[in-house]
Amino acid sequence: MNGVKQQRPIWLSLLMALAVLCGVGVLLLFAGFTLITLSENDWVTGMWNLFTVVAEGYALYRVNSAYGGAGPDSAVVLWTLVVAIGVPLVAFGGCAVIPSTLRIAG
Amino acid sequence: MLWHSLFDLLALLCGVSLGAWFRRRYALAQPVGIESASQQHYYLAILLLGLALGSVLFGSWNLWLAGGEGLAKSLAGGLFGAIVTAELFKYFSGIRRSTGLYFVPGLLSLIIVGRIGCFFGGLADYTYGIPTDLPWGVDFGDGLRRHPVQLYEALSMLLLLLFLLFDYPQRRAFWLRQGFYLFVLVYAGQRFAWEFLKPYPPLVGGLNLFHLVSLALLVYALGMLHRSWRHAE
Repeated sequence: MNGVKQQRPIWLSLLMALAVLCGVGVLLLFAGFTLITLSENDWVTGMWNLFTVVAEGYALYRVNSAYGGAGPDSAVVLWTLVVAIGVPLVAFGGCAVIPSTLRIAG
Repeated sequence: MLWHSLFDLLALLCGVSLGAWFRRRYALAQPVGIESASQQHYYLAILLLGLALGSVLFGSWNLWLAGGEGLAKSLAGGLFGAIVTAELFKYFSGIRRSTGLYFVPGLLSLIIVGRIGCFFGGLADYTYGIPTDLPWGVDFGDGLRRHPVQLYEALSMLLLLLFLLFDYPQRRAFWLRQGFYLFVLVYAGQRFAWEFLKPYPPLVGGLNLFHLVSLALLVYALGMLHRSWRHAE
C-alpha cells in the first residue's frame, strides 16, 4: 500500500472540495484580518489572526496530503472536518463569537 | 478582547502541550479501546462534530435567552455534544471501555487558562457573576462588584488537574477506567454550583440552561461511574 495513491469515492472527493473551498475562504478572511489588525498596531489580535492563517494553512496541507496519499479515507474525513469546522471554531475566539469577530475585523 | 485572544492562544498551547506530555509520559498512544488508526480518525471526527454543534447550539441558545444577538460558544455545551456523539460512536462500534481519559489533562488546562481569558474579557464576554459584597468581588467596569465565577471555575479545574497528575501514577487502572467520568462529575458539579452565581435567565423552575446541561452531565457521569464500578467488581 505504501506510496500507492488511493482511489477515493465520489462523496469523499466532493466533501474534500467543499472543505478546501471553505478552508481557503477562512484563510483569506483571516489573512485580511491579520493585515488590518497589524496595520493598526494591535499585535495580540494580529498574532491571533496570523495563528489562524497558519493553522488553517497547515490543516489544508494535511487534507491535501491525506487525500493524495495512500492513507485511509478516514484520515481525509478527519482533516476535512478540521479545516471546515475545527479551525474556524477556535479561530473566532472568546465566548461570544460574532461580537469578537467584529472586533477582530477592527 | 485583547486579553481574551491572548489567553485563548495560551489555553490552546497549554491544552495541546500538556495533553501531549501526559500521553507521551504514560504511553497513551490513542484513546483506550480504539484499535485502529481508521477507527481513531472517525472517533475524533465525530467528537469534533459533537463538540462544535453542542458548543454553538447551547452557547447561542443561552445568549438568545438573555436577549443577546449573534452566536456564542459554550464549553459545557461542547462537552455535552462531544459526549453524546462519542457514546453513539462507541455503541455502534461495539466499544465498551471508557475512551475519554486521553483528553482530560489537555481539556483541564484548556479550561483553566481559557477561563482566565474569560475573566479578562470582562462584561463583553458575558461570563461574569452576579453582584456580591464579598471582599474578592471584582468590578468589571459597570460599577458593580461581581463574583469572579470564571476564576472559581479555573481554580476548581486546577485542583482536579493537580489531583490527576499526583494520583495517576499510583492508580492508573482507576483513572483509565473511571477518570473521564470523574472529570465530567467534577466539571458538571462545580458548573452547576457556579451557575447560581451567574446572571443567566432561568429556563425551568429557576434553573438556567447550563444548570440543565450540567444536570444531564451529572446523571451521565454518575450512571457511568456506577456501571464501571459494577463491572470492576
